Amino acid sequence: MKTLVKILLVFSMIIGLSSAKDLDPTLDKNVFIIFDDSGSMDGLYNSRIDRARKATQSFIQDLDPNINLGIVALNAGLVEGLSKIGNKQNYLKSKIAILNASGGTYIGDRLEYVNQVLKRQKELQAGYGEYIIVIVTDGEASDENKMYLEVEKAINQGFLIKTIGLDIKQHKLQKVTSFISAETSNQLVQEMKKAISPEIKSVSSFEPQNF
Amino acid sequence: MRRITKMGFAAILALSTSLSAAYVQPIPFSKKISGNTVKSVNSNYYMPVISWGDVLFAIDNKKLFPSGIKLVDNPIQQINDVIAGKTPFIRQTVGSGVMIVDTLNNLGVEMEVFHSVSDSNGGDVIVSKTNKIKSLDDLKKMKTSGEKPTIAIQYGGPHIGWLVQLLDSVGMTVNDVNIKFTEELFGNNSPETAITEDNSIDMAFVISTSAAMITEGEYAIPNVKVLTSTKVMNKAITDVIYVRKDWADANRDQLQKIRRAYLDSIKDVKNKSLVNESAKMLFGDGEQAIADFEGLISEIKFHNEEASNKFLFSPTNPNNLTNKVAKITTSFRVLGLISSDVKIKPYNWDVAVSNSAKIRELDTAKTAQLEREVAQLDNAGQGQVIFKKKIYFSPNQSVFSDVEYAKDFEEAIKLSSTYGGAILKVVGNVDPSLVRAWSKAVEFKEQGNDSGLDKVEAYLLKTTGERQNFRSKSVNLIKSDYNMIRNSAKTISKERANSVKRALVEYAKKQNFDLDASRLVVIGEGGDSPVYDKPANQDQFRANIRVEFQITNYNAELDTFSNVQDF
Repeated sequence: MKTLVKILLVFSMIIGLSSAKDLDPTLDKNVFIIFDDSGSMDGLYNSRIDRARKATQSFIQDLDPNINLGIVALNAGLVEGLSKIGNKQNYLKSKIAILNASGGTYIGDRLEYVNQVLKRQKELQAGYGEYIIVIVTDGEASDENKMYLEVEKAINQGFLIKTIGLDIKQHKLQKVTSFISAETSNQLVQEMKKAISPEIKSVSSFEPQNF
Repeated sequence: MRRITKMGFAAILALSTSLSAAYVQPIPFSKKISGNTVKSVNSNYYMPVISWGDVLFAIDNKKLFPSGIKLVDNPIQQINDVIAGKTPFIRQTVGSGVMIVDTLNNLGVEMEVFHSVSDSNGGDVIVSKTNKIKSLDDLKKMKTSGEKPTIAIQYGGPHIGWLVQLLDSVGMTVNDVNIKFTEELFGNNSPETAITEDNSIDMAFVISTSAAMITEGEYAIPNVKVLTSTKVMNKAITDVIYVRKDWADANRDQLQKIRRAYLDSIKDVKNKSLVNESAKMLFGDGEQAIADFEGLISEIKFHNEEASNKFLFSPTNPNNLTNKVAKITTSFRVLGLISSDVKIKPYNWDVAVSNSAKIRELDTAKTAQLEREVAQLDNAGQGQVIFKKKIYFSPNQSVFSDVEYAKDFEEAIKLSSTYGGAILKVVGNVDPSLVRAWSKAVEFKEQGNDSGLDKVEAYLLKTTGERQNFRSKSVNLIKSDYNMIRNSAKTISKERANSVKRALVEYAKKQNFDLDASRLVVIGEGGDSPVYDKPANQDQFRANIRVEFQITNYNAELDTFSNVQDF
């Protein structure tokens, strides 16, 4: 009995030490994945779309359930609006599983939608929280001008954009967003995880600024 | 009369050829009464009423008083009638009641408070000259600088206790101010004529209709604005009924009936016939009188049984009768308004009152709604910060022990209670250095200022160990990273403010203080509101890392509280 009481006490202390973020929905992290399912992602064995699907499913599985996640594909009509992952992992993974590669690379168009959703979410969160857009793509946008416009809008609204290039070393988005390259699905998962958990250094003592 | 119509005030101004502000000396009421032979209360007693909304309750229950009710605004007359045995009751605010009880105590008459009627909720206002005092913070600064503001207030009137509470809330006493007492509450020889005519007056305690006249519209005085009101300090003026203890003990059942009747009458405040009769008694005949009475009661929060018991008996209520009287008595002695240490007790109703503090919090959804609402009002420039208090912490601190911060927490809890109609913002701020550095990087990049960029880069390399290569990055990339830093700063600062709020609520629970935590709004400023934008030394660096308690008034009613019960 005494042991049970001790365990309960420790458990309640752990609960009590839960971070302020857990209790404050305005500090929620919001992640939107823009998933490239254009024709160039197709292939026979271990195609880009195979690797992207596998990586995205693994990424979703490991995500903190308190994060608000949204996913859009460029073509297939997959639009999962922003909501807490909670216990929806299997549902989301099943939506990714049925994606096929076909169509164009309308990144600008999808970014427009994502910007609108995140803008509304930021208002609901009274201006707090994190807003990260992860673009997984293997090629240049079919709507380049719109893409640049929407990237600018996203940045001006305080959103972070990370572009992960699958099997490509360069992309026009690297001029305006943080860009990293990946090949295997493992690498892709790791980069997606890094993208949504940027390491932010802080200053703990005074250092004069000469600017 | 405590209240007057806007038309009445305008008429006075229009007709008066010369309004003068003559001042009176602060002396105890005992020097003004007509006799000192105390008689027993006779069986034909009456209930005194003053020009306040509870006249409706008195009218509703006049059958309970052998000689009915009488309008007696003059406190001296009330004292004389108690001494003469014409009534066992005094009807006053707590503040002016202290002066009355001092006089009666000196004659051997013991008075106790048997019922609390209401709190003023907007009907009473403090105005100030904005060239000297724009906010309560300015008042505080005057104490630090040794300058004494001059205040006009009615002698022996309903505001006198409020003055003491206001000064106490900003860490001042009556020794830190000059006070000029006027004979009247409004009209000629009143605080509003004093602030109009006397250049030495910096602040004046007035009623709401007077405040409206002198701060807006055709009679407005330049540079005179509302400093605060009982809408914000919503426990500042409590109206009560005192009773002679000798009579009360001999007539306990009757007294109980009276209290019950007053409480039951609260449901009748919209009763047309009672409203009409009350309006006639206070303001005369006609539709305007009725409108004025309805306006009067709209600025009053009547005490139901729970509120009255809490005021009279609750040990966890910082604004209970005992605490209020204690604060007021000390200051009144200094001012010469009373001649003895007055102690006023509530009549012993044998009420069971909880000894556990009352803490109210909103649920998560309502809290977020309130934060959004406050953010929108702030963005529209509609929040007026009337008072600030800072607490400091270390750069990576996330725990706020009540041992280290006890004094600060206690002050914040008391401020929250004193300014119960305001929002207490708990505002977190972090060191702005990184936010500033990145902001400068964006600015220099947009200007094409490579040398500026190099300086920022050197700073960031030294402080974070990371090379940024700004010259090779696009402005959008730099902006994106700046966003990240800024968002992170806001998140951290809000998390810290959340921690402070939680620590404050826990402290209130532990120390048994009532706290309406539903009016605490947490804000994370990040690095956007530094005290020092570019700290020059370690002290300035540390001064930026703080949480501020900001008492903030919003004139608009907040939707979040539209269906929330009074605390």
